[in-house]
Amino acid sequence: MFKKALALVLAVLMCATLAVAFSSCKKKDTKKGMSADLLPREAVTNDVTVPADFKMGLICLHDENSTYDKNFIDAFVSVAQALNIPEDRYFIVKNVAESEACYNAAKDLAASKGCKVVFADSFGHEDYMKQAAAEYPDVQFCHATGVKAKDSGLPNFGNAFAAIYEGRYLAGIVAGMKLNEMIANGKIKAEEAVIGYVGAFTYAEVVSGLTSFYLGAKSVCPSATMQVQYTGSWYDPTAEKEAAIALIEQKKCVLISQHADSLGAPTACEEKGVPNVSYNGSTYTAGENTFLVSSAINWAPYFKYVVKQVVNGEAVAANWCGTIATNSVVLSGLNQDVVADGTEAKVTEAIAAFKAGTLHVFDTSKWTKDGAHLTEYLADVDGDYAGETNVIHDGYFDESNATSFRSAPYFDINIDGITYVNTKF
Amino acid sequence: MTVLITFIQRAILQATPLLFGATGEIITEKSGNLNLGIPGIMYTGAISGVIGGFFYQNACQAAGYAVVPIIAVLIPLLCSLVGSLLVTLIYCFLTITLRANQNVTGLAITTFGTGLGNFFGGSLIKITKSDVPYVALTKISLAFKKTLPFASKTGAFGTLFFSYGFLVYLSIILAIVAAIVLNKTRVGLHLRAVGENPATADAAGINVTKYKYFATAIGGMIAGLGGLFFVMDYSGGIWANNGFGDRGWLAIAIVIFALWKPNFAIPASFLFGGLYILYNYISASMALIPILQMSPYVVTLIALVLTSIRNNREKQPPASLGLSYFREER
Repeated sequence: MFKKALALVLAVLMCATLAVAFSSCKKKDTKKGMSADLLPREAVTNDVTVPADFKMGLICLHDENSTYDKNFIDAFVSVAQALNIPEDRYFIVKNVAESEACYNAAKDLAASKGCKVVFADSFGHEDYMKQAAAEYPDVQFCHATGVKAKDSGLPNFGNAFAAIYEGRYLAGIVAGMKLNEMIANGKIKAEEAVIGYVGAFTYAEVVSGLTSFYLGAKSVCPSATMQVQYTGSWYDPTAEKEAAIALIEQKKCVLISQHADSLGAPTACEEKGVPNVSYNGSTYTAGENTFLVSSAINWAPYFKYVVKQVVNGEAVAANWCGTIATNSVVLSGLNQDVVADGTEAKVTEAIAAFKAGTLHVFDTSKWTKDGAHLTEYLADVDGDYAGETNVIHDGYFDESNATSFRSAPYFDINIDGITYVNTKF
Repeated sequence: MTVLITFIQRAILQATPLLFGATGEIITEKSGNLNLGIPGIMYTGAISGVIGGFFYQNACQAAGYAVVPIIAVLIPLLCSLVGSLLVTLIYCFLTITLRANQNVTGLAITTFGTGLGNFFGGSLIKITKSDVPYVALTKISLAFKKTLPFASKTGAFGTLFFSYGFLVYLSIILAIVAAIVLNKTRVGLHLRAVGENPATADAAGINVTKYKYFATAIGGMIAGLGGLFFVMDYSGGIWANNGFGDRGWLAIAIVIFALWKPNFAIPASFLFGGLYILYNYISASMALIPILQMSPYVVTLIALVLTSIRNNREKQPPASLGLSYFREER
């Protein structure tokens, strides 16, 4: 028995070696690869003298193996390093649930560790951060993506977001150019320019992102339409992958983008040979033949701003919204093997227009709701899920206006051209 | 029609890890060992394959050569088998040699295997230094996904039957072979005897410890292939922590649903796989999704209830399942 098994193993090994010996050693294929980042993360400048007793902390929902949290952790560490804050004076508390655990973590950072600034990264952390802020008035508490700081009456509690809809719009232009290319070379007809979008939940953050992406694509490819499928989870590789496959096969989508954290949709696209626009970081290595571009929020400018204000004894804004100008919105390079010719010029043009303030993503003349151009829309700005504030003025929907309204997105209109396959709140 | 073909194809891809897990667990349970460590073992099988593939792909990149498909398959395959074997051997040693409680040990192995996978997965991700935390073994994956040359030329028929990587066919072959071995051979008879009544088997001169060790180890290795398939074929060579989901538990549910018969596990896992993704293909409201995803478990519960009521000896779990064998207690 043993001899037989040994003989079998040896035979298999020999076949394998032969196969290796006879297989040709091809040189790597020459791909053009990625171009330089269009909106790169700039190095944090050190123009703050941080006192020796300054400490800060970051509370994360998951750890660095989550796309979302890694983005915060990397930015946090980069700011600490740039400002010469040694490792024993900044703390990253990982895997903190959106529960009492967040309050305990915040309290521990503020009271026991002696942090002057405490950040939290997840939407559900907000109430617990607010609770801790009320208890420790000498410590600055900052919460990303939240909505309650303005009305909390707490001077030491702040919310922050970024004008990522501008980044999405730019990514949309890349997608639209690709659609145009497909139409031009006869791969699809103009009316078949259907984009598929895999979203996590039907939240304003997701709706704002997908609408700005769509408007970006539509700005160069007027016949583009979009199908949106929600998964009901921020991280579910299988659900995201199968949703993307179903969009491609059933809804005949010819380009896919997503707002969820896994590699499900990009890998589905690579499998099906359908171009993909990513979010929160480049997924080029997972889809060398289909990845187009990726936009992300860079949190480093916000961390830096808060540290600077606290060190200088100045107030931190209750609402802070980073922009392209503050380097809070970043855009990867283009996958030169996949993008259409002339894409980079189009994107650069739009970036310049954003910087000049002449381009508004939600320009009301560019989209309709039930066939009509809106002149007024009551958005939910105070976080009670009921619209009360008109946010349309001067011919555009004023998204994430931190000074007048709030930093977190509130665009939740289902505009014409976008079909929701399902919804999930 | 094409949508239906796609649905069936996707269901089969979804079913394959489940089938590997279920076949492995059936072989294990036939020896009287209830291995609840299967989810952890499948996860270990996946990460072990990823570790092997990662170093091979990096070595190729460093040397400037394209990956050789056969090696790209063999290295992860062997690593996966060894990885899941080692973790299974921990379970074997604890439950067979030391006679520890099988439920507790199994659950501990699941926790351990998941932690092990996330630990090494996280470490590899740190090495790659990518924006988004994942490891991409796309070139290795291409070798795993290689289909028969005529798959793309035979239309819908080809899509339905030939469009898969070799692991899909292997999972079905293994299930059939397991069914034949269990029911038609002397080894199978002995194994079933050990699972039903180890004392009697012992008296008949069957080495109970050896059978339990071998069945559990082989079962664990087969289950580990499910993890390997998930990451190398289904996920396109992308490893991200906690991506495997609840497939391990579904595999154990299939064991019950298939009434401890590997050949029944084949249609059962296709059914479970189909139900898992069905909501993408019917215009269902989101509220219906949990109900659809719950349905395999409900069906399993019903199967359990029905088989208990009927009390049919053919459809029962092995009589000594979950019990340690003490020779002295005869």
